[in-house]
Amino acid sequence: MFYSTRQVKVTPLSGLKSFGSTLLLLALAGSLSAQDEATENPTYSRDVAPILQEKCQTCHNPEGIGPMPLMTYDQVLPFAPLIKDRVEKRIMPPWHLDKTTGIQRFKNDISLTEEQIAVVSNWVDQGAAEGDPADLPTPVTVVSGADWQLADQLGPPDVIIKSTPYDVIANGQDQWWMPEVEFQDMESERWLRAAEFKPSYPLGKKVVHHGHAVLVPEDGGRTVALARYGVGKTWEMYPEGTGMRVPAKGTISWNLHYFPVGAEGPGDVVEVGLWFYPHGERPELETVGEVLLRVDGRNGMARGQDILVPPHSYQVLQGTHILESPATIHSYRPHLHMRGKVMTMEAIYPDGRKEVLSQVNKYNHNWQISYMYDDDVKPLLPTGTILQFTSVFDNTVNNPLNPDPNQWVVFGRRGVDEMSHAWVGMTYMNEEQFQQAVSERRARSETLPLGR
Amino acid sequence: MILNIISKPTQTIHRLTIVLVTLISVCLPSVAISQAISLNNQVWSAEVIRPSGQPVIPLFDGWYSNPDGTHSLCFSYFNLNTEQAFDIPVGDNNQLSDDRFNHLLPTHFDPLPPRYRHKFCVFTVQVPADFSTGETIVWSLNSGGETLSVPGHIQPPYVLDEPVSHGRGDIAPLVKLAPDSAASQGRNGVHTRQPLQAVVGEPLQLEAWIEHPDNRVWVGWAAHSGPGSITFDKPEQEVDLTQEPIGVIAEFDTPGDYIVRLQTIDNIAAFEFYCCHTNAYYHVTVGD
Repeated sequence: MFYSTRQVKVTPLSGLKSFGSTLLLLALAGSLSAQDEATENPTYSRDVAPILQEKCQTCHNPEGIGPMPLMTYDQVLPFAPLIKDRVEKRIMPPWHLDKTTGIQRFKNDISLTEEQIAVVSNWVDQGAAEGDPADLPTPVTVVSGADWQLADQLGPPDVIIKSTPYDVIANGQDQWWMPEVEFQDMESERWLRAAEFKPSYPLGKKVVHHGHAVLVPEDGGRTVALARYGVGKTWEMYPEGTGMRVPAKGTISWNLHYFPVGAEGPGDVVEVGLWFYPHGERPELETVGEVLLRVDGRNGMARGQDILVPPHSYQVLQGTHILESPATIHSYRPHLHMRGKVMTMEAIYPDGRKEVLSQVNKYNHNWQISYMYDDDVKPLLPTGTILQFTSVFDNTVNNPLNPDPNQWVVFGRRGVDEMSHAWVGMTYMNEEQFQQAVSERRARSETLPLGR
Repeated sequence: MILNIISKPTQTIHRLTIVLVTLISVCLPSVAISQAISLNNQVWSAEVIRPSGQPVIPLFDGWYSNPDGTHSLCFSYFNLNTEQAFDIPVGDNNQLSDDRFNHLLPTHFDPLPPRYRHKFCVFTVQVPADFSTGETIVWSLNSGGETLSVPGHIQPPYVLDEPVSHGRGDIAPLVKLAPDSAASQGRNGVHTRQPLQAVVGEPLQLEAWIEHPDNRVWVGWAAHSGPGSITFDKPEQEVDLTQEPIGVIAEFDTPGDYIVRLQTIDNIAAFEFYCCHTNAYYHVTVGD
């Protein structure tokens, strides 16, 4: 579809001279041979370690949120059968997006390719050999959970805001910590470029399920969601030329959902780091960040009043939202609870065409992944587009996260109750900006690879 | 069965307009066949909430432990009708799997509250300290179609804060039903010491003495059980606790024994956090 660049015209082989074609085919043959070797006779050092390094070690390091480090052969070997099981089932790395429909290019895609899964699987099946340590890739430096993940790219935050301390309980009901903290850190309004939500390390990383830090401006203007967090979504960086206006003064309204997991500690503090455009620089586009779009209820209905999942059954809800101005979507983050299984985001264009933008079909309440579109494929949506969301609840024994399929499930804040909404990273445009973005997309599409 | 209810979208995306709701429910051929969405005498559709004709759903909110080691199971209900109330006497159509606990079963089921989703924890069942995580107390309710049921248990995912939620810093109001009676806090509830006496068609003032750190609470009165109808002059109130006592005028249309339920919480929106409200029960004997 045009607006999301499905009409990409790239024919990499057609324009080549025959000699060039021959060279290319030879090169491809060599590459395929090496790939076959990796697939059929893989070793840890040559074939598996690079995959772990690229897709796993961000979490599975001594200071990461993964339950065990996977940095060395000795650390990996005891878990080899488990790793095989998890990657074959695509439980790990956590990426719950349907790979068969919708946009498939994301800034934060940590999923494995089919080839990578085959390498890991064959490696385990063939005895999990170490191979020659000389083949190991250069070790990467992993970022500690105590550090800012964006610091490598952006340096230290310009401003850090902090929640007030909360005493974490080990067991019991979900807890919500909602302090309000004065925000007096800036002399004048600034334009936000990126924000990172940083629970404490290591305790906060285990127990903060999701959270929001919203600025209520002193002048009574529109509230500004500075940062929103979920396990699996720690930061947000807006596309170049896009930013969020942040008033200078106000109050930060925190909403932190702590999920007791057996760990406790006094005085837990959550931080949010803010990175701004330089003083005086105003980006071309103003984003409103992640917008909550409900997939429940109707006009006049209390939120979630229509969520009712019978025992041993499923429920499907749909909610639609119409765009009254052009917009681009830069991220998509479904929010359901333990019975949540699927959430689909579709666009119905003004001319009646309809397409799936993204579908999460293996939703897992333990993760709140934000799917951040590559800039070249993020949806560009004209005025009048209807965004249609469809969510599916699975209250059967087939849902491994279901705490009790004999219950009737209704709306509520706890994980055992349900919710149904999406957090959609949204930037509205005027018509001129939209036409310009479409033109730029068309021009770039000439050089884009095929596929989405 | 799939039915779509579509209405014209009229608001902006900023206003989070919902214009289409679809509900599909699939019953698996499993143990819960009686809980099937395709209730024989019901029309189940995308429009779950209707003025009348829909069932009352029995719900289990969760459980908490009491200071004496016993546990309380919290049950609630969701009347899917906005206008139709039900009166279902205790018996085959309204019972717990262990009838020793039937004494506080509600028999009156108000329509869906306009501002909210369901009636939270309207009664509790207090089970012994040695009640195991594998045991259940099942509430079965038939509001005119098939019998729907829900199990209560003490499994960890359903544990409730009571009477304090430390995270939100919330606490259940302290309630007395007479100025010189003991105060109670939380969902187990406080009861009048002696049945109040009333006469059919004549107003009865029901009072409560409530304390809460916020000095402002939401209070709701509702018919819990009894043979007839009860009307209240102000069934929901947001009250200033410095203006004691808080009260409502009730009127009964049929002789017999009734229970009127009072629920109070600092803010009605706090119900969805499943803590912290207090129940209180007025026992009333109504004569001709």
